[in-house]
Amino acid sequence: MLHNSGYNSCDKRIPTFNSEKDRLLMFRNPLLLVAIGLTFGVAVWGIVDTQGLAQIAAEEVRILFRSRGWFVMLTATVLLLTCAWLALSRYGQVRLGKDGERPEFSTMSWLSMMFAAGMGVGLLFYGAAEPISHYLFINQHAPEMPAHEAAGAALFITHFHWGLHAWAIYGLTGLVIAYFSFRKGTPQLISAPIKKTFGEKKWVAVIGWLVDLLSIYAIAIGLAGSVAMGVFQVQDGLAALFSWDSVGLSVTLTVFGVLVMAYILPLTVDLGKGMALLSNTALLISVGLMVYLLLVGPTYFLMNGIVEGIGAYLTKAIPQGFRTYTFFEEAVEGWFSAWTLNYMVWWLAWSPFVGVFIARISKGRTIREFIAGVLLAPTAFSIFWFGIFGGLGFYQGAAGKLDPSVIETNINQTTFLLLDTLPLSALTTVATIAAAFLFIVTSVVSAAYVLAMFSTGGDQNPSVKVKLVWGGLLGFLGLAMILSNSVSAVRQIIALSAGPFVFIVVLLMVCLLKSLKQENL
Amino acid sequence: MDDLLKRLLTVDTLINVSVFFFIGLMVWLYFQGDKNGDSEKRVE
Repeated sequence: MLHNSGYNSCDKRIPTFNSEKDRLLMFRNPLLLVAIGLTFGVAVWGIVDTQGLAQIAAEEVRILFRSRGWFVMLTATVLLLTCAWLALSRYGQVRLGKDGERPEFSTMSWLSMMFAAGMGVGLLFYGAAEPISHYLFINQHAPEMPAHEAAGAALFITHFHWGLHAWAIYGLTGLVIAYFSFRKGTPQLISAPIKKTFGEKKWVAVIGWLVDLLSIYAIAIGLAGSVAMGVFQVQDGLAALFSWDSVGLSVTLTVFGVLVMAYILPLTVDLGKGMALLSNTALLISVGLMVYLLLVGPTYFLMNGIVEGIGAYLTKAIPQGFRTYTFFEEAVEGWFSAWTLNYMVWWLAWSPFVGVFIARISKGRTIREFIAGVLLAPTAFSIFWFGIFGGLGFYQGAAGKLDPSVIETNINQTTFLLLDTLPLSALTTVATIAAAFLFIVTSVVSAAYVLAMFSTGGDQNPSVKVKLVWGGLLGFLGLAMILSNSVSAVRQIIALSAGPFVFIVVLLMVCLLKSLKQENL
Repeated sequence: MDDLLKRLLTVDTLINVSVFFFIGLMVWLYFQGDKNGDSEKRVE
């Protein structure tokens, strides 16, 4: 999934490990050791006292969301508006590379790689579950709202969570990394733009070190959460396929064990294009599934819903970015924290990982091209995806074929119960399980690579040992989250890890804007 | 006085004050160095 393209020059202040002798010294790297110690500690805590970790995470996240939920929303909106301004301003013509440099990938393969980055196990998991969940909540708390309005509102909120605001967080992080690495020759580290902009000062070195540590921690926790959700998805897919009434811990651990074995191999050998092939296969299966649902489901109904969804999104997305539901009852505030705020910090947790990936494939693009591609293409895709999965969920629910209360009893099963209402359900269930599995394997392999790169000072070819250490730690963390056996606990642990990143992304934005002022345009 | 201190020293207020401080710091960092016109030299 990630390509070893880009710059070769490294900041002299950051240690890199190029020779064999240096590689032996890498475990004396304080950042690597502290990062490993921190993530390992959380993993052990999660395994030994799963409920304790989940409870503390829930309490801390409640305090953080209550006290600075407004800042999270404001940051997401400001990042989106900044992206729009950069694309439309004279800075839009600045190239992410040397002047005159051409893009490394064709626009089509660039966009398809972008889909692959944005597509993930989350879309498979929440495709039908999220719109139905919002619909049920609206029905419960605003029973006077007509069903058609509630369905439209539920789809709009889902589009909002997966749309421009999410991609502005990814996009701006990716833009800062791409701009500084390809134009200023810095390593692809989150701290590099800060060091380049503010120079060699003691406080800059300390902040830079902390930023790298927090990035590593946020990526590790975010990815482990995805591993847990992927395992939940696969185990419930197997239950649907073989008509099991419930799934025991043994099945969960077996799925987890197979997953770990599947990603350990690619970490030990350089599969090169093999990883891209796996990622593209998962993407093709998912897109095939989406097209199948569109054609087999009530096509006219789904397309009507999608067009309405586009209209609602265009007119309401920006104002929604300022909504904090502060004058509503406590239940609505709780729903806002559990969904909207949680999503925003989830994107923040993933932003260093996805940002580096987007940056690496965007060399030679102008800022305008970059923002248009990163923000618009995945958002349009998400609107189609949720329009089809969510729309079909509403349709089958209204026809009495799908019981919406599954969201409350076992949210993991929603996608499979929806597929069960259509022909060839065994085949589509197997396809969903396969896609979820491949998405997790490719994500963990890519994440282990990025974590190894970040923790060794931006080394473009981190050793197998370091990648294996991170692969193992991601497995441990994933196991801790799996043992919590709760999607909401997983989301809260991720939210807690991403808390500081809301500040880091703003600091990165300041670095970019400050540096752009010096461009000779 | 006790009531005033109690209100000022709540977790919510302190977290928000740190956010206000952060926003102020970011604005200052953005404009810092502009007056001298030497920011390019320092950065490069």
